[in-house]
Amino acid sequence: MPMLPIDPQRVDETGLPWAFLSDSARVEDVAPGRFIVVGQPDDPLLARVVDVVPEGTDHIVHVEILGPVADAERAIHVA
Amino acid sequence: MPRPVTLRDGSVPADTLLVVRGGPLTVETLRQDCDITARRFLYQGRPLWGFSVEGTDTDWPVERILRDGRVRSRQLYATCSVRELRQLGCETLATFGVEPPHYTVRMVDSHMLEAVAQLLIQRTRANPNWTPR
Repeated sequence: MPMLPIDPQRVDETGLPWAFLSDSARVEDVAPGRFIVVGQPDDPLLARVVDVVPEGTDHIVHVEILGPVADAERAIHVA
Repeated sequence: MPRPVTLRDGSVPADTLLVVRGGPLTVETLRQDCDITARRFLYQGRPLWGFSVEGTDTDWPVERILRDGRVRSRQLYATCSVRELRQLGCETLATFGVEPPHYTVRMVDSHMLEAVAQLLIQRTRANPNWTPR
């Protein structure tokens, strides 16, 4: 189940996809350097958290999209 | 507290082809994207209710966007022109980066969103760069 509802095309001034931290299903697991699952339940993506920056009363999470979760699972299985 | 959106200079040519990520592409996923954008950004002093797309230019044809753009990780995609969106009443804003060019398709209300979604859903096709599972 994705931890963040991120549209990979939705970027800001940084050029990176972003989401509100408060929209995360598991806020405690969203930290710079962590790998998380984002996107939609029927097409999840693996992403790396780049930073978490305060904005207003919330925080903005920027991520680097690494690819479909299925690709990562396949790579781990091969390894 | 939402803040003004960053716009690039210049108008958006009507023949610009826009690439929209699919997988899934539904009214509800587009509505979710619009709601999230509106929570963060303002346009002309009002919440910017719109969703993100990538646009073509001479350096970024559709084929390159599908291969190297932000949509490359998605299973499905759809395309439409800025002119087609204008005919539905939408405004296309040149926002943020240019590698590839990023645009925000601004919606006015749910009726407009549903019309745009129907257009895009009819155009949905497989991304040739997506790896079958």
